[in-house]
Order: sequence, then C-alpha cells, then structure tokens
Amino acid sequence: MKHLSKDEIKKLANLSALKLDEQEVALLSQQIGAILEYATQISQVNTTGLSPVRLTNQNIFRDDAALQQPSEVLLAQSPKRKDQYFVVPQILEQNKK
Amino acid sequence: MKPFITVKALREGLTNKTFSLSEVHSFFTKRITTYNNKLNAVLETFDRQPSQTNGLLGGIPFARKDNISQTNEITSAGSNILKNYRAPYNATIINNLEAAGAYSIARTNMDEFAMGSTGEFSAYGPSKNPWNLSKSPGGSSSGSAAAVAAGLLPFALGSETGGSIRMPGSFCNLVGMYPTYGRNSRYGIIAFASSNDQVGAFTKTVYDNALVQSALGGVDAHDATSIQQGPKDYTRSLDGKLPEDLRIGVLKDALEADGIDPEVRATFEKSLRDLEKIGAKLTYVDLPSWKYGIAIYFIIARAEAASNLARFDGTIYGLRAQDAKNLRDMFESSRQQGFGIEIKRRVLVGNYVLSVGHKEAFYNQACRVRAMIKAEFDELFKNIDVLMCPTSPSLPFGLGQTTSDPLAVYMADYFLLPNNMIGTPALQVPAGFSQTGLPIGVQFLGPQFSEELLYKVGHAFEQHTGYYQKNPQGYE
Repeated sequence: MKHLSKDEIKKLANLSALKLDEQEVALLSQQIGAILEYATQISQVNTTGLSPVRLTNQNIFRDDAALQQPSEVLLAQSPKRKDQYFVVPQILEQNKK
Repeated sequence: MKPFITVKALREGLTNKTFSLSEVHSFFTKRITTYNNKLNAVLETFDRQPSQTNGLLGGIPFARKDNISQTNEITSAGSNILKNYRAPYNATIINNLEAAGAYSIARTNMDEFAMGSTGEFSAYGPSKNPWNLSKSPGGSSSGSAAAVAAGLLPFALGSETGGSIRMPGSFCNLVGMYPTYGRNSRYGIIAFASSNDQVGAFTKTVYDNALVQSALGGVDAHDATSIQQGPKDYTRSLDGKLPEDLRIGVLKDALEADGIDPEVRATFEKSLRDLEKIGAKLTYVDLPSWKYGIAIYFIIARAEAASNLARFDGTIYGLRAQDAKNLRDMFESSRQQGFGIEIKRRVLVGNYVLSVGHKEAFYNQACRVRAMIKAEFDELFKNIDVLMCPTSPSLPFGLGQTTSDPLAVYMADYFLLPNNMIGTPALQVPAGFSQTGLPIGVQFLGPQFSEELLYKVGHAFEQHTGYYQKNPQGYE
C-alpha cells in the first residue's frame, strides 16, 4: 500500500466532511499511504485471545436526570441564531425550474 | 524575586511576607511583556488579580494551554476553527487550581488540537525554544514549555495524548508528568483522543511538579473515566533519596535501537551511572511489543480524533464558512477553512481505519495490541519498580526542518507512546545538555497509580544531578 489513490483520498474526504483542494489531495495521497503502510506492521502480531476493549478505567455514570443548562450562554456562541434556534443554510437544494 | 524562581520559593516568600501578592503578579506580567515577543509562547494574557496567600498554590499565577477551558476566555486549541470561541465554563482542573489559590493569567500556544511534535502546526505561528530560538520547544504543548523555560510563569499547564508534555519538557529542560489516565479530570479539555488525553504541569523542579499535581488531581463527577481516588500530597515523600533497594528496569531498546542521537544515548548512560551511585539496582529489560507503540497510536489516536473533531462543523459554535450554498457545503467549507493540514491528515487516517472495510485489520487489531502492551507492562512491574528510557531519541528539532516529512517526526515519539496507550504514568526529568547547549531528558515510568514513587525517584535523581539549576541565557 504505497499510495492511496487520489480517488480514495477524495472518498475519505467526503466521509470526513472535508473539502480538499487538488494540491492537498496530491500531498495527502502520498503521505497517508506511507502512514498506513507503516501501521500495517501490526497485522503480523498474533493477538489471539486478546480483547480489544480497554478495561483499566470503569465508566462512572451520573444519574439520568435533566440538568439545568444555561442555554443562553451556549446559544450566544452560535454563528447565526434566531431566538432559541441555530440558523443554518437550507438543507436541500431547491428545485431549479 | 529572581528570574526563574520556583513555585516553592514563591510560596515561601509569600508566606514569610518577603514579597506581596501584587509584587509576584507584576513580576510575571512584566516578564511576559518583555520576553514573549521573541518566543510567541503566550497567545493572550488575562487581566486577573491574585486573591489569596493561603492554599497549596496561594498567589501563584500560571498559564494554561489553549485547549483548557477558562470561563469567558478564548479557548481556541491553536486552531482557526475556534479562533473566537469563548469557553462557557472552567475546566475542572482550572477550578481545582483556583481552589488551591492559583490563578490563570495567560493562555499558551500549541499545535492545533494538540496534534504535533514541534508546535509548528499552530494556527498562530510556532513558539520558539528559549534555549535556542532556531529550535522548536517541542509539541504539542509548545507555548507552555517555552514560557516556563524562559521564566515567564512559575508553572504552566500542558496536555498529553502522545508525549505532548514530556517531549517539550525534555526539549526545554523542564519537569513534566503524564499522570495515570483518569487522575486529572478531562472535563473542559478540548478532546483529541479521549482514551489517552490527560493534563499535567510544566515546572522547573520535581518538587514544584508534585506540588501542582497535588492540587490538580481528584475525583470529578463530570468525567466518566475519573478514577475514584481523592487528592494526594505528592510532595510528602520527597527527601532527595531513592526508596531503598529500588529496582530500575532499563529499556534495552534505549541502548540498542537505531536512530538515537549519540548525545542522547551518552546522556542516558550517564544518568544510569548516576542512579547507581545513589543506590539504584539496574536490570536490563525487554518489552517485545514496545515497538508497536507508534503504529497503534497512529491508528487509535487518529480514529478517536476523527470522531471527536466531527463536532466542528460551523453549526453551533466556532468558525462558519460564509456563503455556503447548503448545509452540507457549510460543514465542508467550515472545516476546510478552519482546520490546518495536520488535522486533515489525521482525520482522514482516522476515518480510514474506522471504515467498514478496514476496521478489523486496523482499529480492532490495534486495540488488541494495546492489550498486549498492557499485559507486558503488568508482567514487567512484578520484577522492577520503575522503568527508564530517554524521553526523546533526538535533540530539539530545528524550526522549519520537519514539516515536509510527517512520518520522520512521528518516529521521535518512539519512547513516549506505549504508556500513553495504556494510561500509565511517566515523569520527564532534565538529564543534561548536548555540546551545543540543548537540553536532554530522561523519563521514569511506573505502573498505574505510581505517581508518588515516580516523583520520589525523579526528585532523588534531580537533586543528585542538578540540571534544573541551569537556565537559558537572555532572560535575566
């Protein structure tokens, strides 16, 4: 796996919601291929019987109860809002007739 | 007050009324004003005043890395996407330090989202190493390390996912601890790889580090992986002596592996002789799965980063691209404009190793190898008390010399990643200098919850060798 093809990079970028310019696609197709190639060395390791789950820390859960959140503080961070809502561009393209 | 004064000496001076809270405050704010221009270590200072002399850290100003939330202050994680983001609440560790009497007066530069080894992936320009301005202070906690090394602050907070406290500590002649995972709360730390992320302090001495850590740690109901152990006084056992019959395991790789700078190796060997002189028993040990540390870190940390960074899409906070033609375009354009190249590189790798066709071979297999490293560590620490190796195999990188070859820089994390992956603590301590005057560090690693032992060993080593007494020139 020397290189990831430019198409593969573009597909990954799409999965990652990233727009890349052509220069970035070219650079990353080289570099990511090299990184993944290095990482494939672990395929030779015999891991039979080992669990992928890390068990050192127990998850601590809080009570499943509603908390009073200062919503204005959070809403004030929004790039665009109307009253209690976050405003975003239209989700679907309009039919062009 | 003299430049490079320690936290310990500041506390003594404040308690004895040798100097006042406001004198300490203006001493450090003036140093930041005078010296930060040439270092680019501090991104912003805050107009805060000290309130109390009592408490473990009463009256001590500090800086936080830019990924640690401070109420109403910008917390940008070194990124354009959070350039104007103001944290709505304090990270728990900021509350803990404030409760101990310390107060945050600055935020420091860092690699974007803590991803980098040199500080050069910051959206706000690289920080410089006070020991040599053409060198990197190390990353990703670049600004915190540079600031403390130049004496701009008595201590600063860093964060570490894959070596990001210890490496800059080594490059800047500072002490830095990666604590047991779960020891310090992650609440309010902008997430990179949640199963590794921990915060810790940069200090000039082991005593100072133990003191700050005594205030940092503790149970936090806001962090689901917080370990259920209350705060400890880590300074208590620091008497400059090693524990009796201390068994130090020396990682054989550290003496044999290719790619280690000869001066780093010689410094490490001298450190071993120094430790023997003060009573340590050395044995040479091998951890066969150590060599997979970099590979599994590539996979697991990037997988977690890709997931954690999915939230930055321009919708509810952070940068939003203008003139997007629809919602999807807004996501993609905001991320395109807001993220630097290293973030894109890591997010793509992360989503690759998590994708349906590759998850088993990469992500799941990496997690199993992580379990293997854990089992080897557990077995090893039945026969030794502390494990030792260099912190970085190389001297501080030259600025501008590494960014074109990411793989080569990643390799410099060789000694740093295995314990990050399994969440066990490690302490970086200054160990000497190259002929060109650049700092070199060594590290002490222990099993889970062994911070107290590591501080004691580090303190004995430090007091015997004394490298902490040396400071960079030009900051008097």
